Amino acid sequence: MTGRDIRWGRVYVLVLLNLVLCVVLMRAFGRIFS
Amino acid sequence: MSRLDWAVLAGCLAFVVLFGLWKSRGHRDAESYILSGRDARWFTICLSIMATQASAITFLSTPGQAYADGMRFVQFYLGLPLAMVVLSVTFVPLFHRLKVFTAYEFLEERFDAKTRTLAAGLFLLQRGLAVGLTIYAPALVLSVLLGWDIRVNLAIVGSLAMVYTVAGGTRAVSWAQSWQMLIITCGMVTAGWMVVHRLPQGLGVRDALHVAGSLGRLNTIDFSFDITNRYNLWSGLIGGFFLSLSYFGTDQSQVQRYLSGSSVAQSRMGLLANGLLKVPMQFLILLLGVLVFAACQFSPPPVFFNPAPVKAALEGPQAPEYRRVEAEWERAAGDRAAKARAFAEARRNGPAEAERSALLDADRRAAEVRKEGVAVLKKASPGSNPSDVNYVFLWYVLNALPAGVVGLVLAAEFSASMSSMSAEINALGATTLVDLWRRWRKGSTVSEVTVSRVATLAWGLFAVGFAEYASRLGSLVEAVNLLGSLFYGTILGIFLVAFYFKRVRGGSAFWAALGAEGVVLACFILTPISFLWYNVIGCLLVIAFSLLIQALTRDIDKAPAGA
Repeated sequence: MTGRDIRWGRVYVLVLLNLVLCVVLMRAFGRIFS
Repeated sequence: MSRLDWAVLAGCLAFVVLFGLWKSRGHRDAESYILSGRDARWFTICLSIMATQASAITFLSTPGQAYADGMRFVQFYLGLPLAMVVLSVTFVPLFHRLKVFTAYEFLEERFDAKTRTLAAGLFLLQRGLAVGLTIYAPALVLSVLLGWDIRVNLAIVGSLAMVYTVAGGTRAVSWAQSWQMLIITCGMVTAGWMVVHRLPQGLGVRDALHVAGSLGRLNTIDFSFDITNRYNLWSGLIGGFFLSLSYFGTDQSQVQRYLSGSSVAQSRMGLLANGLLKVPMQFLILLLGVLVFAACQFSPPPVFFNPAPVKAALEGPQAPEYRRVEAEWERAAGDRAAKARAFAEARRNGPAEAERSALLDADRRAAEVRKEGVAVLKKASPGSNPSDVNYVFLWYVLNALPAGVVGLVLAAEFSASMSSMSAEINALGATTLVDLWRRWRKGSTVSEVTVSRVATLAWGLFAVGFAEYASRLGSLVEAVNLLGSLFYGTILGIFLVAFYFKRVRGGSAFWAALGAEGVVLACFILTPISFLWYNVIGCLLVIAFSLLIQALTRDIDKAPAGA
């Protein structure tokens, strides 16, 4: 992996989407069982 | 502890230390010792970053925090992925391009020697004191619950971590951390599986979660904004972002992990993988605490999890009062257990609102009795800590889990203690060599690897010595714990000025940092602002003061070109 073959913008968006997904899922998890 | 537990514990620790020593061979120069010859792959970097951040007290107190306060603590980590992205875009390529050994070296290239020395000095001060507490806090819990001598405990953890860190430098630390993370993961997953397995007959995970949720322990995300509230979405995203940016971008114990990457891409991937995994990992550790909480609703726990103040109360004049509280607790907790079971069973057929409200009433009654018990303990030992959060998880492990699993969880706790300590003394040794020794002893004929090893050993001995002394510090221990948050914002501010305000000179940044630090300390002493916000305040003030001083001194045009 040299870095040239990686589209870093997409990786950053993936990390941020993962954060949003975590917040949504954790909120839903709290609501389902409360 | 059974023989099997001792065997698992000793086997895990011996394996990690021997593996670390095996990876210690062949250090010829400082680059190989401090940065592992810049050959680390992204997964080693990611595991190393995670193992450095997660100390033993993380694995002891996080489940306890969920038990006492619910899962809202997870919001503390929400700013971390954002910080990983910013670091990958800015800090990582710059540090790689300049081929620096420590983050503070960059400040001399950009500003001047005194700004570099200020940042390196703040790091050595706060991290030097904090590394002692990294091993002291878990050792205290283990010594109280297992009856071990805390000094022996500290000596074992300290010497095992020092052996491979001094011998092998960053490469040994990183490889040992990979195995330590595996042991920690195995320990926590096994403990979680056993908690579920040991739920009372006829009750499952869904029942346990519904009981915990009804009692307010699944409060994961809170959208309300309150600057004095530590854990809500906004303090987590904003305060947590600044804290993570400071910690991962300017604390050498973390910077050294990704500077050892073989390329910008490897270092970036290591940080970004940490950004992907950290929030789910913290969620699972908190979930473990929630499951322990649920299990304790069905089989009543003691009034207070820390046995030391209980023993003091039972041996003193408060004994009759405490025994009365214990008897009341038994009734209240037994009643709550019956109500919890009734709710869990009724819920399967519908909303069960009446059973839920009966459970809440029983829980309120139990909480009142516990409060009474804590007040008696406080009367018996006025100096004792009224919180038993750190003791909850290990108490459960020792009292409810079978032989073998206890040893594995203890191995996980020891591994976490050693992994944090080794990375921290490794970074303190590197900063001592690069930012102090190289500047003051130019032209010395002593090998830099030898100087690094001696400095690492000296910091390790200081950490163990400070930890041995920590029990006499009392409430000062908490102040030392806060030290990081008091300085991180200021250090981050210096770096951000260096990156983005290229016309600001060293003198302006230096005095701005001192002024901002003064304001942060004033906020700490005079205001109720939650500590996560100190990072934001310190950072923004350094930027504002730098620009102001630079404008007032009118030397903008004489400034050198930026980094």
